Amino acid sequence: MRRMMHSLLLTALLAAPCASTLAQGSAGDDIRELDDQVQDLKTEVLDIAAELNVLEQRLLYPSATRVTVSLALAPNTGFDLSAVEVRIDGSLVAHHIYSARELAALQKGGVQTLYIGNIAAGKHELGVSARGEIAPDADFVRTGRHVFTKGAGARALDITVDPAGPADSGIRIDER
Amino acid sequence: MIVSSANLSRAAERTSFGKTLYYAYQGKWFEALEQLNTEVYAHGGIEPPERDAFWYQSVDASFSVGDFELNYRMHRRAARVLQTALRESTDDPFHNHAAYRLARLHFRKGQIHDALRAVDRISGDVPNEIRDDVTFLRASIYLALEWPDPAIPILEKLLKSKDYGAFAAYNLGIAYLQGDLTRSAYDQLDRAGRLKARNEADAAIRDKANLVLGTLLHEEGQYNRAIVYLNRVRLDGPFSNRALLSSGWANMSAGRPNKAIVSWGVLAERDATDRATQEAMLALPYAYGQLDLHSQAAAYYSRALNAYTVQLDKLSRSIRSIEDGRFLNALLRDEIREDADWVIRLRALPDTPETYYLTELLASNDFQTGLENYLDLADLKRRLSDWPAHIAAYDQLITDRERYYEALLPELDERFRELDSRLQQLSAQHAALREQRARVAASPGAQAQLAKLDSSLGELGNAVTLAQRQHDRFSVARRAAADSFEDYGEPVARLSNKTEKAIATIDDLMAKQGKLLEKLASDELKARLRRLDVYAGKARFGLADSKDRITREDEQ
Repeated sequence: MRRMMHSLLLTALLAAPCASTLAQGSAGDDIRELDDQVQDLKTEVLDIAAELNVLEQRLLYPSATRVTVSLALAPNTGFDLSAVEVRIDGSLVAHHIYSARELAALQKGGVQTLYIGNIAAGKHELGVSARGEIAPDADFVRTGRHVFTKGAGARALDITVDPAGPADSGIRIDER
Repeated sequence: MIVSSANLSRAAERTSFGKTLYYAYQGKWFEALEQLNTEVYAHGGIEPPERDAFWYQSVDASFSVGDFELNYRMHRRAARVLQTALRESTDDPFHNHAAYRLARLHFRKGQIHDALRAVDRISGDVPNEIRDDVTFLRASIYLALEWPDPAIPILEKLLKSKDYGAFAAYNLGIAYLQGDLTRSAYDQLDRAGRLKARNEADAAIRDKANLVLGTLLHEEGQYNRAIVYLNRVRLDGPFSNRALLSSGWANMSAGRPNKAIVSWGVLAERDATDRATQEAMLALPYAYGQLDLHSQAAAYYSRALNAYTVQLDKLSRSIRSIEDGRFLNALLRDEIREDADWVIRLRALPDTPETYYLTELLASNDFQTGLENYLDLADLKRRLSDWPAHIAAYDQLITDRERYYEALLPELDERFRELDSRLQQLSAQHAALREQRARVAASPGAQAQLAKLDSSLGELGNAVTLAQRQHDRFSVARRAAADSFEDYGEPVARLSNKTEKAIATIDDLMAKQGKLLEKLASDELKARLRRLDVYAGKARFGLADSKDRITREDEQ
């Protein structure tokens, strides 16, 4: 028994000299087979999700009336955005309070979709209000306004918050 | 500010990829990939998603090609993305980066020959930051294939690597063993066992080298040499229990049960669910017995027996708990996946019946793959649970719109025809008036008539423009009305079928995966129970034997 124990120990120790790989055997085969099936399923579900999103967008927000508002932070500004509010023609359409994880994602270059909605063709005004901290105990509140014309196609409005930027308000709004 | 048309698509791409990054930086891999796929579909992407994913990820330095897929454990899709990157890339460093990542992916999945093929595609300028990684991976692949000859020179070169020095030192010993170069292997493992550790990983690999060498020497009957190496293993490292156990056996083999008692005495006080500890509990009184200290032997046999009884009860309860389905429920607890180290958190769960004895199993690659898949399936099930309701709501919306417009459309179409007819009539009148004006203009002395015609043409032109505008607006509105319900039937029905099929597949796979996990856990526990049962039998026999010897000693 003693010898067997040592042989088993040695076999186990020598089995994976460097980086571990999946074990052999029927349980390992079953797990690998299931793993392949789970990966196929994930592909299928991601495809459905994408198709569903596109369908939803066409159905609920047709391009003739769609307006999309996205938000990004100016790069390398190192401030904390805590909340943002978006108004179209004076009506509040979106507001968001940021978690630490969301803020970190924005700070690294992520872009958040704040609002997707429908508006009639013609002139409109987008109003943005952002609150946060530039430094500890140094809060900032910035507001920005932008008049845009909604034509026949979908309109995208990209907000960039930059308290240190050249724009007076610290908020830039680009239209696409 | 309006973005110029030249920069329009670039801005759109940046925003579009930024939305994917927003999720990726939060570790929301499903959402990140969903965003990628949505962009591809929304823009009528005809290229395979792998190509688009490759393109997207090649424009951002934060994530390497295939990262999103790898993080969501879609290794096959990640491999396809990397293979696309390999095919498309003409830049050596990028190409080699992709080849390395592909090789590493295959290696981790146990696809050693695929890993070899991928690593063999690395050529030319290898980026500095992955040079050692590539070399170590190549050596690891050779070792996994049991090709020590090409592995040895590579590992020898890696000995001075800052990151891989300790691993290379140990693996070189194993390579020598594979090549039957026993003397070199022992020398190398000895060196690996004396390396200065710069971090915990180095210290662990050093312990492992000493444990392997000690065990090999013990196997060969070189007990005293074995003890030297086994005693080098740290008392608080991951290999400490096994080293203490082996050290005890080596001392027993060397005829020094008093020394064995020291190792086993330490080990017997440790976690009672550990394999080595359980063996030491039995071995300790055996060593006392060898020293004719039968009272102590009896006391330790009795103690071992009590401990085994408690553990056997725990094991039986754990097996029942698994059979009752509580193990899978424990795995689905929300708090487990709250952070990135959820596997570690799982192993640190409080002593619930579901997780007794399973730390080793939970740490194994097979089990973790199965477990992660089970949790991913549970997550997909949660996501998809709402989708049929959404699709049904869209279907209803389309039906309602169709009914609404069906009632309106005949009247609208009639109005449209009227508008169209009026526009044509006005256009014809306008054309006729223009011709008349041309004829009049050719005749001399018709200034007054021309002025009158010009005025009429102006008025008629305004009427045509107005009618055209009305016509255009009407056309757009008519098209929008039709677009709001036409051509949705087939995609909605297809999505509905696909979703139902996916939900059924999730249920099926979850059941299979769950059963497999339960079986793995249950088999593990049953094996431990059988082993412990044997130990308990031996402890009972040892106790009776010790008592017998005490009685005989008393009689004498």
